[in-house]
Amino acid sequence: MESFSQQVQGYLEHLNEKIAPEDKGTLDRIAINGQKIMFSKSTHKYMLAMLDKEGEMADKLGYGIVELLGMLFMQSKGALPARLLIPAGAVLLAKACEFVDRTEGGMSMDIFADALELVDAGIKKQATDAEGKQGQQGNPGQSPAQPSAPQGLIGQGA
Amino acid sequence: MPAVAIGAVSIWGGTAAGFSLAAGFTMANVAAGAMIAGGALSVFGGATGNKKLASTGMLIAGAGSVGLMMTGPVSALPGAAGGAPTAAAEMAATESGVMNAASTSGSAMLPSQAELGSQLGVDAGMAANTGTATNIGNAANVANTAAQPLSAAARYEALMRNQLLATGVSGLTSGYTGYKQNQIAEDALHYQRQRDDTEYANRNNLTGLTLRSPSLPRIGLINAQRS
Repeated sequence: MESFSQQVQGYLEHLNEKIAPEDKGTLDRIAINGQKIMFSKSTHKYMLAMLDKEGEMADKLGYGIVELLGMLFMQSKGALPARLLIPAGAVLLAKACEFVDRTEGGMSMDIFADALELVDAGIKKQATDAEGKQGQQGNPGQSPAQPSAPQGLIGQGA
Repeated sequence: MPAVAIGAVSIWGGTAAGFSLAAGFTMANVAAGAMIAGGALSVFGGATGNKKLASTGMLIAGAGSVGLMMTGPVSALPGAAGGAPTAAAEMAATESGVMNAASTSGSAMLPSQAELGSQLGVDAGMAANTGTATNIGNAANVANTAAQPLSAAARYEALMRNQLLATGVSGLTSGYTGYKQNQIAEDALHYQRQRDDTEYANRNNLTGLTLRSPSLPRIGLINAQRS
């Protein structure tokens, strides 16, 4: 029986195979910056506070990752490619789940999948809301081209 | 994840006005990423014999895209204006993708179309509002009479409403400025050990223990408390 860490690593390998080569560098930078937030000395306490809340672990993890992605997106001043939000969420979720597994145990790929489903739903909810607001402000259906080189936090690399 | 500390509303909702106008933040672009992450999960589930992973992956990816995900890297996702119709067209054109996937990766691991349709019901309603996922709308028709478990979308809405995870703490973004990449693993291990200590203390009824001060030796703390 493979450990959770081994299993989730297997998933990440499948994910990496599906990422277009030109997106891999950006995805790596998003993942690194997300982990910086998760494990920075000054901010890790918030992660622990979240983990200690009542509720289903999958919900806490998934919801937290959506919030983290929101912050990364804002830090990038909107330059973070939207098409990489959910893949980046999957990577960061994997790291968070590994952390929980090592400290509390009990993590499983089923919990990971439930959390990833929540990440998917949360990001899509934000996109739906954003499109609604764009429509209200006279930009219905507009989908401007994204910058080719992300700026700000995501663009600054390690 | 720790961004949750900023509060359930403050990150996405608090900047909604500016954020909603961010270039490229559209359902189509987001869905393109979902195809990748969900497709990978579906393939992984199929390969490991975990039906839940396979079905959840398909749900995230969108039913029609699964056949697409069985191929190599998804290079047809430019993310710009052309990305949306491309992804949507691929999803619509691969309506039989579920069956294609079944024939290539173990049909026993994949859910039936009726089951999948049931799971897709709520997301389809959301997607239908944007008019970007007609094939999911078809799946929703299958699901009309099916019992609906609490979907991820509903769970997310409930979490937002309840602000279950909000703590009202602000100023998080400044905390990691200058944080070095090579510190990540070290600090992750550090916090892992701290958490291990906390668990240990809880299990052994060691109260009054201050375990989260990074300046104090871990073992020393435990030994001091024991003595």
